[in-house]
Amino acid sequence: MKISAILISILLLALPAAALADDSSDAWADQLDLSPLRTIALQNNQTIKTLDTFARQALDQIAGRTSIDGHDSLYVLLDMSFRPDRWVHRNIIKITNVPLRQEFQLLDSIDDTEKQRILHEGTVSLVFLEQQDVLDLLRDVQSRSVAKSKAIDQIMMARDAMSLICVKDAGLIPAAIVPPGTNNPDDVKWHELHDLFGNVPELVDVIKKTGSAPPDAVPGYADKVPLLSSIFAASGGLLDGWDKEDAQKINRSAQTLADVLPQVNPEVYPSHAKREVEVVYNRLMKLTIPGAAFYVVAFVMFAMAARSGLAGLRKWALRLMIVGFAIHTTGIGIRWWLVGDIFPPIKNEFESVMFSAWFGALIGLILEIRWPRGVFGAAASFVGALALVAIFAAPYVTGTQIGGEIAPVQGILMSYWLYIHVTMVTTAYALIAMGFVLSAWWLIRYYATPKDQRALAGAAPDGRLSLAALDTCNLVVLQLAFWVLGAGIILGAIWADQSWGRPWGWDPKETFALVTWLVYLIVVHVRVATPNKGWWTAVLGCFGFFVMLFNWIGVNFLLVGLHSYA
Amino acid sequence: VRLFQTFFRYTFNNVVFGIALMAAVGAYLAIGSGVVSVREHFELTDLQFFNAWPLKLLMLLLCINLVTVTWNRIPLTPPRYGVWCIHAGIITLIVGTSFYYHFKVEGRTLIPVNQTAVYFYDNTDRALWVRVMNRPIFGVHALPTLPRFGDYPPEDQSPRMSGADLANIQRFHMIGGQSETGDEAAQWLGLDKPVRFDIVGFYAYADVAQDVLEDPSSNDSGVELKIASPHGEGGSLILSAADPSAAKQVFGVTELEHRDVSPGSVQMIRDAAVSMFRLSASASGLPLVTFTPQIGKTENLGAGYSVTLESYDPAFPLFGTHELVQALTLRVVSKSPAPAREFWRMILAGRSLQTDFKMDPATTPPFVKGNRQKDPIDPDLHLEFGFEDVADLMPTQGGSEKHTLLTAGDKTLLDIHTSFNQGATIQDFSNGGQIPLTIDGQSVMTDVARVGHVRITSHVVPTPTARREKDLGDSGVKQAAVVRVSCGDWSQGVAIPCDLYAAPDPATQEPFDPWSLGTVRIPGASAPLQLQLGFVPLPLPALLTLRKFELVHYPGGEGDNGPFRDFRSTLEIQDATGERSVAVTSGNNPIYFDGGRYIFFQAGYDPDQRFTVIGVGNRPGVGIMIGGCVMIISGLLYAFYIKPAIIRRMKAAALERAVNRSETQAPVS
Repeated sequence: MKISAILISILLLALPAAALADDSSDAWADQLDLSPLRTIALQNNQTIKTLDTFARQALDQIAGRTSIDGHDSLYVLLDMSFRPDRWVHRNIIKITNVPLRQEFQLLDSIDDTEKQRILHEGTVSLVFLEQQDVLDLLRDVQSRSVAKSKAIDQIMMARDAMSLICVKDAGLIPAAIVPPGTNNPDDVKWHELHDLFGNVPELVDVIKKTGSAPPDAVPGYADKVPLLSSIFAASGGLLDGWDKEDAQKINRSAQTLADVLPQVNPEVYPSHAKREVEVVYNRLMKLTIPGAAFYVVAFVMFAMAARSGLAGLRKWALRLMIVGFAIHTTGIGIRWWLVGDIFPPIKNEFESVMFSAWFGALIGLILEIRWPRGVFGAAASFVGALALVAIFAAPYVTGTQIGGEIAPVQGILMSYWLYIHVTMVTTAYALIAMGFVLSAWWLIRYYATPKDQRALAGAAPDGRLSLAALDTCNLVVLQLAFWVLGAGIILGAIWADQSWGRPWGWDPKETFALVTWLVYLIVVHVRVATPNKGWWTAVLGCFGFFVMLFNWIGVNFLLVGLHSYA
Repeated sequence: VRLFQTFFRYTFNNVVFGIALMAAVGAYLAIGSGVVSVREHFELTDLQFFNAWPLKLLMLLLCINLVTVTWNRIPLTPPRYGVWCIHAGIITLIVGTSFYYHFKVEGRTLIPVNQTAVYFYDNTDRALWVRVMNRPIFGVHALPTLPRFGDYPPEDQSPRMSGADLANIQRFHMIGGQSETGDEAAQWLGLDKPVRFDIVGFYAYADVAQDVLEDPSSNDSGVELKIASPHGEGGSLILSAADPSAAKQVFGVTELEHRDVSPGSVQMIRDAAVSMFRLSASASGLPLVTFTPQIGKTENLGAGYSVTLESYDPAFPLFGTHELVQALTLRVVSKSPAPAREFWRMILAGRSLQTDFKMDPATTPPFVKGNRQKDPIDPDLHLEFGFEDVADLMPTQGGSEKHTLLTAGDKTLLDIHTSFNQGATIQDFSNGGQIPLTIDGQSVMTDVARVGHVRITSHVVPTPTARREKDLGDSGVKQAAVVRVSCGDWSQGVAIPCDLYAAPDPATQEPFDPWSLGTVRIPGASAPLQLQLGFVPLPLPALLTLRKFELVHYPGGEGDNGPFRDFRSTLEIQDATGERSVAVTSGNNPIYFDGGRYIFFQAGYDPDQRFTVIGVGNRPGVGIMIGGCVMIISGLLYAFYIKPAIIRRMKAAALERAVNRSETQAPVS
């Protein structure tokens, strides 16, 4: 069956509009209102998400960014789908791996300028990646190097994603946007529009007229034919409007689609509120940067308050930190709601860092309210800010996904032991980070104080923070970190005994967690063995932080183990 | 004595010494886990590295230090209960851990659906596996000192390859089937001189390549194919039945196989070829007729019946069960009894079901719905179709045709060409012949000739570092070894690849993954031997039969596309007393067996759901370790949060006492 026949039939359903616009600029796009389309739901990668999310993820996968020519990802996605000719020759597929770009120097079919361009910009077109000589070259590279082979897999996935959008069903929204027809527990697959041609009698007639055999109807939609008809009509209207650059028509069709799609199966379709929230949540950078902003300001004010002893400043810092903490909490809450699981979302790096920082901030807040010195608040808000900025920036800096996008995970990560283990270990990590802030602070104060006055540091003149007080605060945090980490490691061993068949297997992650714990074990003991307790505590507090950081981040990149998802 | 006292004061009775020990332990762990090249240099796995003497020594010193310091310096008073508890917990944990690693056994086993596993495979220890070709004799010899991370070519004669277990191997532990002759390879092969095996080379990541060469000193025969590529350049390929892995080749849809048989059995194979398909027809008043059907050929059965074979379907899905059977469709013409009838009949191999279809001139088989008749149009006529490929001449590797190239005696070469559509044709290629092969999409006539003297050897091709894949390397499947096989004055080097699950299935006597390469023919031996590198098999504490394996998807997931929600194996467990029970293991849900002494857990999966991989482990001393952990954590909580309260209360009490004392003393003064 020819796709053109289908497209013609869809246009017939849509009752074509009269005027033909031949304005080739994208000025018309300014009048577009795609907001109804943003919140339509679809099934992709075993997850129900909004079209807005899908478009952003798709464009990010293809081009490594979320807007092109000043148009946002949803516009680009639809334009690729409706006018593929404009896109297939454009160099937008991103090759992040620089050594791989160099391999194209060997290609005969492009000139030196083009080779230089690929080297510098790192972008190629869909058509380029379908050329036989390019494929031969890539196959050859793939057989030579495992590292480049992974990079090739990545651009091939980008290519396939783009060709699904650009070529496969040009003219239809390239995603499974129609919910299953029944509420049968087995009927969980959402459908793309092109699966459902056989369900709409008008389309079947048109297809028969073209001489092709119509496809079989997908079961479960028998009583939904009028709805499907209007979905196809609206979809045709969208295509037709795009073709004629008729913003009004597109806006009307988009609204119709958004209205009708949920009616196909209101029980399965996510609520309007949930879809709206998902779009807003993504827009607000998953609430990472907004939360971080408040934490940063709170940190600065806490530090100034601790230095100067101004109680009013500390009070304001506390208020700002509470606002930051509230945003942080909301971010986790929304994510939990969107994931739709009873267990809290702590299954990948993004989520575990988010949670870790949250627990750190919570404990910091409690300590700060109980012992109002500005110290705990400063440490906790610093850690909160750092963590939230890090998880936002990590994909851009390292080029690897850390799980910011909601997606299912291997089922082995669904165990209550996991939640307890990960929660405790990441909380300990947040406390270690707070300990680092306090240790560094102590060391700076220590070396900034003239030698002869260090001994007097026990006294606290004019309400300012003394070295001894800072040391006590540090010890409180580190002791907490020490036993929480110990308990977390033990709970991890209990989980491993069930999941991997042995409680302890010298996996790099668990070994380095133990090394981290040993560092704090030493901290506890230097306090009874050396006269200069504060100095040792602070130095080891800093050292332990770097061991922990290596374990959390370094191990994932440098050493491969069973913990590579955490 | 004084020297000893000083020594004691600065070591075992010294907190700083204890701290130094802790730091040393930490450094040892960090190096072992973080600087992999160190332990790889010593050819130690992580388990071995952390079970080695330096760490054990450090732990021992730490324990002594801990006991001494605790005893001498920490009074056993209420505020100190926490510290005592922690220190006792740490010692308990260290003792439990040593016990655990001393007795720990850890392995995995692969179980195909509806098959039973008797053995599991140690996760780290490798073994030399050997089998007598075509007989159910399997032997295994453990190689605990075999290296793991480096490449040790035979010519280097590295000291790492000098372990006693690697040299002069003559006896094997028998697996599965039976041998009345004991455990020496020489006895299995009817040799009077001993056969010895020496592991002389090892490669951590490599492929084993086979060489088939002409060699006048060998008596094995083969078949040479002179392949002319459509682009001009040509090549030569020798197939030889001397080694099963050199006997077969597939070109597109054409399968080729060389077989060497005794001259006496040539006729038997010829007969088997021509009578693979048999059609027998019976009708009232008709003698039983049996013949070999050929497509398009019409057979007159007598009594006015004639049948023409219209089509053959090698894999017809049965209605309902979807079982695949061979099906024939015949056009039947019956002139008597009147009226004359013409219809189609479909019959299935080995079944007596007769399905008739009305003729509809507009269609040809397969048929449109509606023409199928509920009852036979001619109930008198009974056709039966049988297919028997006793000599395994039909394609088996997915091809649609096969050339079985048969050598016998000194000169004979026969080509038995079989296909599902045309049955078998036999040609004499003793003086050379040609067969069409599809190469690069074009049909090319290829010369086939007999080769009298062929030798098959193998060599190791180490994989360049850039092409090594971490997961594949970790699994161990890319390991390869070189074994020198000697018997009397004769000896030969054999390169052998690794088979992760090398043991034969008890029912079929064949491993799940067929062994490849590694064959050796010892002069005078009654059969060839095949060698393989594998893992040490250990008897399972219970027989495990896989009843069902399921991949559980998330909504919207399909096929082998992950991630998966779960993997679920339903196992039937038969313990030593013969008692059977059924249990399910899935992610995070192990089966505890024998009161928790063993666990069976989901350790791997097959995307096609044909088998499962079950992890097997014992759990020595887990209780002791948990006890230690509980003591440590409760001690920590006591020391951090209860001790300050106790001290506060003691201080208050002391203060009160002091005040009371001063009050009672006041009037006196």
